[in-house]
Amino acid sequence: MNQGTQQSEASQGVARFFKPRFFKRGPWENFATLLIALGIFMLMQPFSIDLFGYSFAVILTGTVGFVIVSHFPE
Amino acid sequence: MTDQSSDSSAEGLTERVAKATPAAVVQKVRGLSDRAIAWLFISPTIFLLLAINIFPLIWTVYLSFTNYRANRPGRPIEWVGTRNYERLLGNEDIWGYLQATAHFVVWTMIIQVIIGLGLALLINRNFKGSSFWTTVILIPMMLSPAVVGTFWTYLYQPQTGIFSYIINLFVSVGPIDMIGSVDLAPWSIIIVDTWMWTPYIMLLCLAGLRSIPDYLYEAAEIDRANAWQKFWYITLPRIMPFLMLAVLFRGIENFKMFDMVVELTSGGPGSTTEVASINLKREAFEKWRTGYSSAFAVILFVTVFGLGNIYVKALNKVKQ
Repeated sequence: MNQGTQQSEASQGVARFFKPRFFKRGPWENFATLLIALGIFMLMQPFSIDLFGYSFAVILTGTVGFVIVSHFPE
Repeated sequence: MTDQSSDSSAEGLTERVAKATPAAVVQKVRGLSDRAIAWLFISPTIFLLLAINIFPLIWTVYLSFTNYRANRPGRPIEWVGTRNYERLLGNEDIWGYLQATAHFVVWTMIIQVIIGLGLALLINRNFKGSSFWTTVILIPMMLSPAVVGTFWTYLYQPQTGIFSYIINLFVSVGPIDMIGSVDLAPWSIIIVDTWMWTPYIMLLCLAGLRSIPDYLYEAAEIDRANAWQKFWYITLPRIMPFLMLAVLFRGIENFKMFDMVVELTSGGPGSTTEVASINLKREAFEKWRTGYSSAFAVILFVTVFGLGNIYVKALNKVKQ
C-alpha cells in the first residue's frame, strides 16, 4: 500500500517535471548564460589551474544548454 | 534619343532571349513553387557556407582528437581521444596566454566604456560643430587594424615617436619604450585598441541616449532631481542594453584579437603580450602541431560561441 502511494507520488513528480511550465525559456536561458559566464571566468582567472582545467567543460555545458533551452517556449 | 533606342534594343533583347528559351525549360521554371525558387536562389550561399565554414569546423573538431601534423602528410593519423584537450587544460603556459588575453579584454572594455560613454554624453548635447566632431571621433574606427598597428609602432618609437615626446611634455621621464618594455607592452596594445574602438562604444551609447524620450527628464525636473539622479535613474538604465551590446561585441572581437597585436608587438617582449590567438597560430603554423592546435581552436571557438549566444540575447533585449 505504502509502496503504491510512493510510486504514484513519484509518477506525479515526473509528470510535474515534464509539464510545459517547467520548460520555461527565460530562467533556463539565464542559467545557461550564468554557466557560460562562469566558465569564461574559470578559463581566464589567475587564481587556480584546477578551475582552468574544468573551465572548458563548464563553457561547453552552458553553450550546448543555451542552444537547447533557446528552443523552449516563452 | 539614344536612351530611347538603347531601351528599345534592351527590350528587344529580352524578348529575343525569352523566345529563344526552350519551351521545356520555361515550363519547368513556371512549374516551380515559390519555396523551390527561394531554395534555388539561396542554395549557392548555403553551399559556400557549408564549404567554407561548416566543413572546416567539423574537420577541426575531428583533428582535435588526433595527433595529425600538417607538415607530415604521409604520416598515419592516430586517434588520441581527449588527450589534446587534457594537455591544453593542464598547461600553465596556455593558462598564462589566456590570462594575457583576459588582461587585454578586461582593461580595454573598462577604459572604452568609460571614455565612450563620456564622449556620447558630450556629443549628445548638440553643441555647435557636434556633427563635425562626431565624424572626427569616428575616423579611427574606419581604419584597418593592421595599418593602425603599423603606424602606432612608429608613434611608439622611444627616440623619434610622438607618444614619448608628448608624455615628456608633461612628465620628464626620458624616452619611453612602450613596445620593448615588459611592463608597458600590454598597455601599448590597450591604448591602441582604445584609440581605435572607443568611437564604436560611443556610437552605440549615442544611439541609446537618442532613444530616451525627453518627457522622462522633464518629469525628473518637476521632481527636482539633480543631474546625478537623472543620470543614475534615467540615463544609465535606458542605455544599459546598448552598453551591454557594445561590451559583448567588443569583448568577442578582442578575445580573438590577432592582427593589431602581431603588428605592434608580435607577442613580445618574450611572451608578455602573447594572446591566445597568437599562440594558436604559432602552435598550428610554426610548430605544426595541428591536432593540438585544433583542440585549442575548438576551446576558443566554443568560448566565442557561448559569448555570441549571450550577445544575441542582449540584442533581442535591445530590440524589445
